[in-house]
Formats: sequence, structure tokens, C-alpha cells
Amino acid sequence: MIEVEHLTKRYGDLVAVDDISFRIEKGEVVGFLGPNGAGKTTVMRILTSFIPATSGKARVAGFDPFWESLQVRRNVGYLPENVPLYREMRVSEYLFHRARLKGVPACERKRRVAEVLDRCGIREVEARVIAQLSKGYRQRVGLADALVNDPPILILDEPTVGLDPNQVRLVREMIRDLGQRRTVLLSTHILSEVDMICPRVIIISDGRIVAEDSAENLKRRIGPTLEDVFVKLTKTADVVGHEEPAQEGRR
Amino acid sequence: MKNVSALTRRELVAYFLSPTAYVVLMVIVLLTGYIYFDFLSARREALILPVVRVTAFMLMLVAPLLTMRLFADEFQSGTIETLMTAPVTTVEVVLSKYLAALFFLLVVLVPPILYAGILYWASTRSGGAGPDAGPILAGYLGLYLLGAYFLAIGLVASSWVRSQISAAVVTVVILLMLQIPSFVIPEDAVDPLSRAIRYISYTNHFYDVFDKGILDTRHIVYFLTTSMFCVFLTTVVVTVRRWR
Repeated sequence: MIEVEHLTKRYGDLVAVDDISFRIEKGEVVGFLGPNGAGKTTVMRILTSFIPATSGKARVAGFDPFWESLQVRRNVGYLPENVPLYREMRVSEYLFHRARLKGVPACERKRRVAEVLDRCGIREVEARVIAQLSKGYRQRVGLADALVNDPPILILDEPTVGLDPNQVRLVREMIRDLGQRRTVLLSTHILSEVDMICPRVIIISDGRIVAEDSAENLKRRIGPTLEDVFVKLTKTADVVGHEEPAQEGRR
Repeated sequence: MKNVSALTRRELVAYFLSPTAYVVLMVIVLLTGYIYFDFLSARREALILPVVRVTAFMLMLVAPLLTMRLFADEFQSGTIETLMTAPVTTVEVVLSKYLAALFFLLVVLVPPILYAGILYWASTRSGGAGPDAGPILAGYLGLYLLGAYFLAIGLVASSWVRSQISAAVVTVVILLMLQIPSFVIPEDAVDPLSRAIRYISYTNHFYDVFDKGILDTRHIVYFLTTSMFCVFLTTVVVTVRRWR
């Protein structure tokens, strides 16, 4: 469902994403890990056709995010980092607007919005103005927006940031549930989360992939916990250089 | 283009939910109402021309307030990311925002239009023939074209800068600068360059034309083409800002 080949993104002299390649098959839930500034958000923005890549190729749902961006956008539910929302709108009003924008037919809109309201646990705030909502609710409104047209691919940038432990568990279970039928790429800092919901992990550091494997394999090979794996891989990338772990990841 | 109605609807909701809209409407009512009343009661002149002229002046301050939010806010709050990752094209987004602003401009012009209505009502009631409709209609058409042109410039500014406040300031500065050529270049200048520069200035195309009741296609074309060019420019700017 998602194919990335030799993708590179430069902002002036800064190389944000440096020649990365990976594949995500249909129905996979993949965790995208990496320190801040590693290039996770950039990759996600390229895949959702928000920004173009400097070079390299990507295909999402069989379409090119640059040349066939409308088809890509129709197939992807995207939750950006920090969850930007129209603050002056009410929750259900916002979701209706997004459903209309995403081409949900008029006769289905009511049902779809009701479904995501229930699914994301925001039924009780549907009539509230978004500006007055807590961070946890806003995060779930963003998630509801990503789900409203029932897309086959979900790209979620830090979906559990700012949530309390109960909400984290709720969202985590939801993503696991969603992963039954959909392809999910999610980025996060919370390693225990990845361990629980993502069978496969891609770790990137300084714009390069330093490891790509199942969480189990990584733990067996590199360290007892995923945290050790993360620290080791992203640290060596800083100190020693990228070549060795990068090759290891790509074998 | 099927998304334009959904997007325009959302922009209009945003207009009517923000205090700016009501402040703008109130200021328009107060100032144009005062001018109208002053001419009518103190000078005993039943004229619409002063109302048209003061509204034209006020549009220069009102338009930036109506356009500053359009794109600057999307970029500032990051909602441009959810907007442009939905299946909509940049052209649809830009057009929708402009259409919503144009619609709101209609609302802004309601009070000045009411004054003409009152004049007509008062005149016919006392047995008169009513005011001359030609100049009034031309004046209001001119006001709308002028407003549409100001909004188009505000739209570009809003897509260009980082914050709403700077969008408003940049718009006012551009609108003031666009007046300069009509002051420094005499009306009877003959060399093509001076004439071309003078042509850019919108004041020549509004004052002593529309407000005098003249409908001249040259000036209508001026407002329509420059507005369309600004809409096009906005599309380019929004695309480029995303691509950098």
C-alpha cells in the first residue's frame, strides 16, 4: 500500500530525509520511530502529498503523491502533528464539514459522523466549540477527522501525544482495532506503545533508516528492551555515522 | 469545483463567528450613517455621492480586516495542513475564500444601499420623482468592484505573510501605495510609461467615474482583470509556500 524508494527531502542545505526506502503491505501496522527532528513528520507530509519530495519515488495506494495527489488524499486519513483544527467550530459541525470535503455522500454523512463520534469517544462533546476542548479531546477530534471517510490507509503523526494514560489505552486499542482492516503508519516517541500495537518498526535517525524489523527481532538482536534498541541505534547514528546500522536495517 | 460550496460555506461560518465581522459592520453603519445624516439635516442636501465616497474610503480599511484571516490564519495555526491534505485543489481553496469574502462584502454594502432606499421612499412619498437612479446604481456597482479589488489584494497579502496583523498592515500599505501614481503623474501625461504607471492606480478608475454615474467598460475591465490576477497570484503563492 505504501512504497517509498530513495526518498530525499532537502530544505535548503538541510537534508531532512536522506535516501530512504521502505514498503508497507496492505493491512500492516507499522511504527515509525526516531528522535525529534529525525524526519518522521517530513516523510509523512510527503506521503500525504502536503509537500513534495526533492527526489525519489513514493506510491501510496498505488498513486504518486505528487502527480496524483487527489487520489492519494482520498485514500489517506491523516492526523498531523499538533492536530490543527478550526477552533471556532463545534465538533460535529467540523466533522460534517470534513466529511463533505472528503467526498462522503450526503446520505451517508450523518451515519459516518455518528460512527466516528462514538468510535473516538467524543460523543459527549459533539456540541462543544473546539477551542474549549482539552488536548485529549482535540486529539480524538483529529483522529475522528482522519477516519470520517473510512480511508484504507491511515497516517498518524504522534496520535497519543498529550493524552492521559486512560486515553492512551483507548486510542491504542482503537488503532489495533483499525489495523485489522487498514494499513496504518504511525509515528511516536512512546516505545511501550509501539511494542504493543506495531508488529513492525522502522527506526529513523538524521533522515536515514537505521533499523527496520519486528520489535521482537530488534530486541533479540540489539537490546533487551525497545528503549535500549532505540537509544543504541539513534546514538550510534549520531556518533559513529549512519552506514553500519543503516545497512543492517536494510538487509 | 464541487468542493467550492463546502469550502465557501465554512469560510462564511468563520466570518460570522468572528467578532471582526460585527465590528466592521458597526463601523460602516456609524460612519456612513453620520455622513448621510449630516448632508441631509445640516446641509439640506439629499445626496448619495458623499455616502459612496466615504464608503469607498472606508473599504480601504475594511477590506484588510476581512481578508487578513483567510490564509494567514491557516498557515499560523497549521490548519493549512489538514486543508491541503483533504482531496481539494489549491484553486478551489483560493476561489472559495475569495467568494466568501465577496459575499461578506455584499453584507457590508447593505447599509449604504439602504440610505438610497430611504431617500427614494422619502422623495416619492412627498410627491417627488425620486432621486436619479443612474448615478446611484453606478456608484454602488463601482463600490462593489472597488471592494472586490481590495479584497483580492488582501487575499494575496494574507497568503504571503506569517501573521494576520502583518497581512492587514501589508494590505493597507499596498492600497495606499497604489494611490501614489495618480497624485504624482498628471492626468494629461503623454509618454506611454507614465500613462501605464498611472493606469495601475485604482483611484483613476473609481473617483469621477463610477461615483459620477458613468459606467465605462474600460474601468470595469480594470477592476475585474486585476482582481482575477490577484486570485491567480494567491494560488501560486499558496502552492509555492507549501513546496518550499
